Amino acid sequence: MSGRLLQPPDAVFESVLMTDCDLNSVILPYRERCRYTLGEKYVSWDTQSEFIFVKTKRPQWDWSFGLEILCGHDAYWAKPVKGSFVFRNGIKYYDRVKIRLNFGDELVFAKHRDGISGGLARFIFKRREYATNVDKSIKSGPDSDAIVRKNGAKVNFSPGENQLIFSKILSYLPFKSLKNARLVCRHWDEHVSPILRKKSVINFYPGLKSANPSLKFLQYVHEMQNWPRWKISYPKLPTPLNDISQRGAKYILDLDWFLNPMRGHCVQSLSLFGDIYTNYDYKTYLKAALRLKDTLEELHLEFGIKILGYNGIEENYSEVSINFKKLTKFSLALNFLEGEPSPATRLVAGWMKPWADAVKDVESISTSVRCDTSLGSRFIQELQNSGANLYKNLKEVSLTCKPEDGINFLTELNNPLKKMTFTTPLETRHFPDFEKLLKKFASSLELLSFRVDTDDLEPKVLNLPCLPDLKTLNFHFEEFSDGHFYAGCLRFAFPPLSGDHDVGINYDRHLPSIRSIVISPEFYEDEDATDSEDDVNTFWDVYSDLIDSLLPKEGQTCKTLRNFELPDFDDTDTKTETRYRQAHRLPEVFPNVRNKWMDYGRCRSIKGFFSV
Amino acid sequence: MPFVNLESSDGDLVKVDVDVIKCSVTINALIEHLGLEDDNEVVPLQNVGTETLHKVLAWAKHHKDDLPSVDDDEDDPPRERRTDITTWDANFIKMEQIQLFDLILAANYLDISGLLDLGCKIVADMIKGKTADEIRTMFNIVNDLTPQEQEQIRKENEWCEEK
Repeated sequence: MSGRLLQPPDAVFESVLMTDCDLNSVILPYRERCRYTLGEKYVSWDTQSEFIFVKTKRPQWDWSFGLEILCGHDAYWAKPVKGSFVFRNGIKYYDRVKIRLNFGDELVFAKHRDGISGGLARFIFKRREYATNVDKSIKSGPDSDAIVRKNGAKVNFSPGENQLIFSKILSYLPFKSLKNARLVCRHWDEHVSPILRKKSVINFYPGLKSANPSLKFLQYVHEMQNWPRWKISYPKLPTPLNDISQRGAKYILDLDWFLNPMRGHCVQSLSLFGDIYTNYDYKTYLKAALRLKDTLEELHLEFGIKILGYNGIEENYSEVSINFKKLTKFSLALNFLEGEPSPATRLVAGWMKPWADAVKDVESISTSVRCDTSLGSRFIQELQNSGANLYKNLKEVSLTCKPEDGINFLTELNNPLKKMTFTTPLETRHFPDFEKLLKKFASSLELLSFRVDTDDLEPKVLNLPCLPDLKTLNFHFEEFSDGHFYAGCLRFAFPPLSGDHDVGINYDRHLPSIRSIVISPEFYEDEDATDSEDDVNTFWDVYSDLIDSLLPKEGQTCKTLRNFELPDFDDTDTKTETRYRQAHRLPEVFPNVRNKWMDYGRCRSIKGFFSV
Repeated sequence: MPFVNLESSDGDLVKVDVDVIKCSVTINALIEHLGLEDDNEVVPLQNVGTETLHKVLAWAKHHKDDLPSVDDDEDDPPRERRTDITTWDANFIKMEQIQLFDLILAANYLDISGLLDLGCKIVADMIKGKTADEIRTMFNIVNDLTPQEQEQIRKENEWCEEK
């Protein structure tokens, strides 16, 4: 009975240094009567069962490599494929013999060059090991050491006894500590496991050089049960005509096997990555989204895509229709492969229309920051062509596209948006329409994030309306290409009180719910640059106006703000000075912002703390 | 009513400024529920010992002018989740483990979110970076996982990446 319960542990087949093959190591899970075939060319599952590619890195070597590893009778067995032989711990075995393997065995094959023996390919068969402590973090600060157990006395309290307290403690644990916590006892595992499921993703990443990316599918099926978040990175597949060793064919077979509905996957969040060169790639890569469409709640597509063919004509991809049942969040990042059309070219991209239709019920749409702007624009145009009013559940948008395309789409949208992000810099010419958008969504916006172009030397004013529910304001200057700051001044202006002309901020009235303001990018001084000091001063000469416009009148405060990040402050290293002229006012104006430099200034409570 | 008498589970009475203990939702509710109007009336706290009560009051006194805390949103960016502990709190919380747990239980019973957060952060700090074996030893927990269950968890842990 114990033989059944305590089946052999999983094994690992690992190449030794200088073996010159493309296989570093592969896990061989023990499954009764399972057969693994290691070799150079895949033929079929019937003849080779679970196949693992092993190929020499140097084409001049002739390996004629082939080995079967079998699981059975609570042991692993090895057998050279027909016509070959292997040395196990120095003893030669031919293909008629089945050898019982022990962990630690060395398996050696002869390498040939032009039919002449020329060295050895060496592998180790060993036990699969697991990390005993996945959290190598240094215990944080003196506090953990301050708690002592008197004379090693046993404490009759377990953090797991009170569910509310236990949940709170777990919420402060970093990801790796949660993994360790699962191994404490059943009770801890029951509580920690759901948290870990929520916070983690299962990554089917083939590795840069892996010849066996689809082995992960097999391993997942036997080791995991319904983890809800997946990332699949597709390997670059050979075209069927060039697929001599059948790597591409095997990957597709394994993918189909893995996504078979009978596996009962219940994936809620899926991210797909890969490079699409052909319509064959496109259809293959979208299989996962199609097969999992009934359960998916979040979908992220991140593809390099070949848009122009060799003749300069736009590639035509299948218009795959998808009907998602539960999808609430969709994000897209597309980039050109092998040549970008000229800016004047209008892309047809008919394959985008089904996607625009498929996501009409979602709450969140994003063209991610990793998306090419013109491809992002083309998708947003497609959303608009489909009819902005169809996206009746849309509450969150994050747009990487030409600002005018984003503004046009949102202008036609009639839903109350909660989150609006523009990642492409707005130019002064966009301000009037952008201000109208802000007014339109003023009553519902909770997050507003945008960038402003810095090429323009004209002073700019951006009029913000009263934003009663806004919690987060992120403002980003466009990157400074040459390390100098030529940008024009920018100020925020707010609606004046009736009968007043003061456009300054009054937090109670204009941003009564604000919790976080982040102005970025952070400014880093270049220690090697001789004009670094000048740069810092120029930076603050230009941008002080912006921060000034976020300071209320003397005596007024903003108690709701908890996070305030400025470009010149480093929250982790407690810089004790800034060139911002009104820095001394900040702790008083934002009493609930807690970070090291603000607390330090507050303790000192003197204007001299921040140099002017 | 500027003062209230709190009775610990040991039967001791501790007179405290109402303004100091306003951070306790439980005590506020008890004062209201019992209709206390007079400085000599007593609020019974059956789950808090005298020693722990004094610690709670020391913490409450130091934090009596704090602004009301704002709950963290789940979708707040990580930089906004406050895990910092002030120097005063770090010194205050230096105590034996059993006292710490009594304090956490008291904070939970008295519904003082700031103190409960502090205690939980400290316990989380104690767990951080420790192996399962070390955690079991620290909290006197028996490992009831079978070797197969442990191996399954280790396999799953290998798969999990932070999203």
